[in-house]
Amino acid sequence: MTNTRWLVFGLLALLVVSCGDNWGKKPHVTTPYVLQVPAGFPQPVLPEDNLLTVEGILLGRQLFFDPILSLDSSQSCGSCHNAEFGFTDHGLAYSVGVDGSVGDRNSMPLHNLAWHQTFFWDGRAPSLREQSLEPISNPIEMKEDVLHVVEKLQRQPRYQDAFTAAFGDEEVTPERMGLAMEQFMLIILSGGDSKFDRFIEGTANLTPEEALGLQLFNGESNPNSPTPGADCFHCHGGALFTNHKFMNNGLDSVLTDLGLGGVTGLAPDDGKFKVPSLRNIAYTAPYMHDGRFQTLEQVIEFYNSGVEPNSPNLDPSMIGFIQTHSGSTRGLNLTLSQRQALVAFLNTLTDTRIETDTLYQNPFK
Amino acid sequence: MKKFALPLLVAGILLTSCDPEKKPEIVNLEVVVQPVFGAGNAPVSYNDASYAMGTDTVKFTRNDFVLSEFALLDEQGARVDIRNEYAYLSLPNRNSFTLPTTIAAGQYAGFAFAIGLDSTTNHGDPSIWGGSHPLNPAVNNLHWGWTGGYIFAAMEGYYQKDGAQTPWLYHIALLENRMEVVVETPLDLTDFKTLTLHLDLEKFFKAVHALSPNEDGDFSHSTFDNGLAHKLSENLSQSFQFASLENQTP
Repeated sequence: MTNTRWLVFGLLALLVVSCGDNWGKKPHVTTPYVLQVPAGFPQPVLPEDNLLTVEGILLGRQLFFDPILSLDSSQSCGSCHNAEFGFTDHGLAYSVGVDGSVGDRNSMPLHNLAWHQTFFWDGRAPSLREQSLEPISNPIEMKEDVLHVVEKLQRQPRYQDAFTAAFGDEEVTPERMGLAMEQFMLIILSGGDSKFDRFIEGTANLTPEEALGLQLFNGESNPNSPTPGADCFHCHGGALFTNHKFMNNGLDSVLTDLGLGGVTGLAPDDGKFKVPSLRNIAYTAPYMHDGRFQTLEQVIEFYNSGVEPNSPNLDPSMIGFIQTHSGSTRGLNLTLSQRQALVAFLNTLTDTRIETDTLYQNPFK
Repeated sequence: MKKFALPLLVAGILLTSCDPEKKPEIVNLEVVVQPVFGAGNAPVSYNDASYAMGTDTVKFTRNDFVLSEFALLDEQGARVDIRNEYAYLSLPNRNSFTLPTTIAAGQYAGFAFAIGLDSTTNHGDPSIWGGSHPLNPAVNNLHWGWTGGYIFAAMEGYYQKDGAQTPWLYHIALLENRMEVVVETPLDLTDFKTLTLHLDLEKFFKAVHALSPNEDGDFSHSTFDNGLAHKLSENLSQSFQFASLENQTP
């Protein structure tokens, strides 16, 4: 009997020791967030090592909109990615950094990033968590040391609470900052509530002009075809209105920005930039990686007659834009009313929820 | 003597069960597709190298495929179907797939598959496929969106026209252009194997019909092309050949 008592005592002691620091500590509990994939969208592959949680998203949103991330606390990510402009920069071709430095590429719209594999116009970031940290230290953007941002955040009780809620303790690290901002950006969606989406689900009608635009959008540019086509679907097809590839669309015969080629160092990649989604295109002027076109009409006119056939590495998908139609000049050969119809259709891709969904908005306002 | 019977029986069972030479009853099959050019099976270098092809000089930039309806041919030549499996290839980087461990181990006489999809799958809702599934449009970029259906084979590159590098593009789609590929060769699938096929891109331009971007047209989306896509599909279906069959490396 005495032996049994000692055995029980010993086991209890072992249990207490094995609990170590966690003795009496509450388990870290988070609230799962289920991404509501719009109808008709393909299924995304979300990062398995960064499951979406309400706490992670809210922390990410705070960080995204907090100017504390910049050198002089004057700029946040949201400064150049404003929801009212489809998370782009207020109609500017180039954004301006904290010290007045002017950027060299147009601020990219942020939506449906859950379907992307690489980020930035030139694809230099392989994940959103890495992408989100780069503008902090970029000398022409926020110009701040990420480790200094960590120190600043650690001093703020608000962030001590928010990091604890998201990660279980108040430790601030660059990795955790990236994970949280990744979560926030992954949930920004455009789709499901545009006029076009309602047309697809049968609850709205397109005007005759918009319907013609849709037909042209999905039609091929082919001199042998009895109907005209604008060949947009090759690169901007499907529910996401992008193929997520890097392509040269023939803007220039002489390249001044190598794009993907500047990252890979491979000549066949020179002049290639990420194909952007056309969802919310009405919000995101100006257009192209350098914001050279102020209006959609200018964009359509470029594709109609301005594609440079001698642009290095012109994507083969652009072949429809450099053909010669019989008895006409090179290009798509669309009439003015056809070009206007395309613009009308593109405007049906606007989903205003991006500026009204409270989850996407600046929590500091 | 009796007292040795039980231990001997146990030892016998143990030895049998540990037989390292015992072959599996069912196996999987890894399939690798290597792009080559010409009879010498020269590996294709995408984006930069040029290949002489008749009077044309061509480069290759994109060879993407949706594959389905896999089958092995038994020794009588009958199909042994491997159902509900799909693959997406984007050469040269995404060049392999593995058929599941449902194949009866044994001797076969060939391997067959379709480039393209049956009508139901081709025109079904593409949003049903999981995030990594070969038929997910975000994975393969071969779905034509609301115009319906998939591009079965996207072949792209450049050729020289009037001294200038000019794109060529052939997007083979529509059911009438679905391609059946049959590679007849003895296949010992008594173990887990890797089957390597060569895709001879020279044959894409001449296996059945001699075609060139300069003379026959440098693009097709499978309509209003004077039958070019169909001829190319007949060429492509004859462009695959056996290269090797080896044990899978663990």
